[in-house]
Parts: sequence; structure tokens; C-alpha cells
Amino acid sequence: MASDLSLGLPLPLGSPDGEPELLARAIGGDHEAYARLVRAHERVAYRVAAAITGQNADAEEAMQNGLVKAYRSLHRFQIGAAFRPWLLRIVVNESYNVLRGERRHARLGARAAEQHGSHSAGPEEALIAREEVDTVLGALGRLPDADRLALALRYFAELPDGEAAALVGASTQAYRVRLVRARRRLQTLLEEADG
Amino acid sequence: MAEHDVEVRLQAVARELDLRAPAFDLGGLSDAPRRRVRGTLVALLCVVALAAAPAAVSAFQHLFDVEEVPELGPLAPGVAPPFEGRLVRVDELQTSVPFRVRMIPSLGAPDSAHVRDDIAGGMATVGYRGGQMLLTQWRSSDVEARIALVPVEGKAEDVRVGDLPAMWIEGTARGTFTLIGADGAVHREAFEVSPGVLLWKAEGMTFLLQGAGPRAEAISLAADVGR
Repeated sequence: MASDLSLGLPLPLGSPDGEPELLARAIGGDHEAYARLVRAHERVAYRVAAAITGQNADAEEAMQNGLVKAYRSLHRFQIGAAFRPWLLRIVVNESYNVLRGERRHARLGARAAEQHGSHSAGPEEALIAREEVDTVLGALGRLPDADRLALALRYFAELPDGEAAALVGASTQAYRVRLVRARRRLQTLLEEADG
Repeated sequence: MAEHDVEVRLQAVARELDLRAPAFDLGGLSDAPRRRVRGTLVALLCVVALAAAPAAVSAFQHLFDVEEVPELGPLAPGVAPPFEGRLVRVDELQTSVPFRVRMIPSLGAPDSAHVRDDIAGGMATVGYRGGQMLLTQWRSSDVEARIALVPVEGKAEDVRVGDLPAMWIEGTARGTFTLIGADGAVHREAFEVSPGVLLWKAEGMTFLLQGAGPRAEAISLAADVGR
């Protein structure tokens, strides 16, 4: 059963010190304050965008647009609420916008192979890492949207199950059920991909 | 590959993505969000494609988590039929689950009752017509249900039970339920769609009606549920 245990990855906390002050300044129109505010979340935002759209330009576009839209929506942010889930919801929506715009959902697996072919040659380790990213993102791309999002929020965004469940509009238990099922489906797809 | 390996691979990919993550472009705050010109054309094509989609790829597909598969194949390890649970007396059923059990008044008292009280939230099944017709119900938030459908040998149709979205599924298809036990263990149960099933949601509950006969009769009986 899934839990709220940390994955142990070196990500900044969801509410770093100084966030309330930065938020207040950003709401007041301070661009620099907003840039500092989202610095603690941009890697997570990119991870989640990549999980939904596949890596490369689409993920970057989704992340950038999502963060811009979040800035323009700051006046709707409820002070005192957790900032990261709010921000990620916008990035997730923008990722789906990009995904729909590209109509590439069904082609992620094939695209991953093309991306691999287009990489310049590098050290063997880097090549293996790229292949693994392509393989896993390709498999994620073959999952239903809800399964992919559940996994992204758990393993890429590292949100506690309760926050992830709230973000997808489900009960914590329903989210955990989906997570279990999504993980098993991904396992099958990865086994296929690994041959 | 073990399930733990999947988690390890996801975590490794997350770390790898960090190496590629771009920094937020502050200049974007002064510009309009980036758009691609072909977006509009693609959106139009999407609309056309949706309009032309066959019935099996229905508007309610996502609501009821119906997916198309080339074949059903054997049950996956860890998935076991049946899912109804233990037999209880009909008058015991209501006290065994934490929700109001809905019946089909027009058919009178049920012939049988089953309960899954080993899972969080519970699941109740009442049987009619000598147990040939089963009405199963659960809280939508507690149980994840998914239907796997073989499009060339089965179909999933959008229908309505009164004003409520519903799905009629017949042919080669299988339902899989994923449930979390009261003890925290994950259960996966499956049933075969034979000859047809009706699936609908109402008042936070999901209902599954099996063995009710042709589609029209099933919808008619479903409309009577809980009255």
C-alpha cells in the first residue's frame, strides 16, 4: 500500500522559509520575488510536465507557461494554503493543454525512440540514462491520463498522498488505489519495453 | 521485474530529469504564454475525430474507465474472481456496510445478498431471479473499477439511467476492481461481462447490474433502483 513516506530525493520542501514574504511581494507584482518563489518548485514542475507530455520542448513549454499562468493567478491563491500543490495543478493543466495541442499522447512511445536517435553521442553512462528516461517516459505515455498523473504526483512531485489526492479531486484512499493499479500497469509496460 | 523496481526506476528518472530541467524564464511574465500556430488546426481535427469516433470510444469512457484491449487473456496474477464476497442473510446486509443499500423495489425482496466487508468502504450485492441477476453497489470513492473491452467482439455504449450517465457493455469484456482492504491490503477482483452489464453512478455510489436481460430492460430496472 502506498504511504506518505518520503522517497528520500533531494528536493526542496514545499513551504521553504521566506515563502509567505515572497508570495506577498509576488502578488504585489514583484517579478524577482516570484522567480525566487518558484525556484524551489521549478524542478518538480518540470518533472511533472515531462511525465505528462514526455520530455523536451513540450515539457519545457508546459512548465514555463504553467509558471507564467500561476503568476497571473496569484491573486486567487489562498494565503496559508500549500503553494506547491496549487502551483502543480496549474502546471498539470497546462501540460494537458500542450499534450492536446500536440496530439501526441498516443505517439509518445514512438517519439521517445526518435528522440533517442536524435541525441548526440555522449559518454556511455549518459546514453544509458537517456535511454532509461525515454523508456520510462514512453511507458508512462501509454498509461491512461489518470494513472500517469497519479504516478507523476507520487514519484516526480513527491506530494504526500493527501495533497496529491486533493489535487486530482479524489479521496486519499481512491488515490492510493489508483496508484497501486497504475504502478502495476507501468510495470507491465516496462517489462514489455525491456523485452 | 519486481514492483519495487518500478519505484526505483521512476525515482531514477526523476533525478535524471532534474539535470535537464530549465530554469524559469522570468521574461515570460511580460509576454503572452507561448502558443504554437498549429494548435488551432489540431484542435479542430480533434473535434472532427471525436465526432467520428465509434460508439466503443464513448464520451463516458473516461467516467467509467473503459479501455480497449486486443484480447482479454488470462487473469493477471493476484486477480481473482468472484468479487461478490460472503453470503449473508438479506436482512443482515444493511448493517454490514456503511452506506444505504439500494434495492430494486419492482422485483420485490432479493433472493440473496453478498457483502464485501473485508474492504474499506464495503461492497454489497443483491441477487434477484434466483441469483441470475445481480446488483452490486459501492461508494465511488472507495473502489476503482475499470473495464477492459475487446472492440471487435464487444461494445460499450453511452446510455442514460434517467438523467444519469451510464454505460452498457456487452460482448467480450472484463471488469477489474481494485480495492483496499480494511487491513490495508490491496485486493484485485475481476468479473466477465456476460451477457451484458450496466454501469452507472448516482449519489456518490457506483452501481453494476448484471444479468438483467437486454439493454432496455436493464436500463428500466436501473431506473427503479433505490426508489
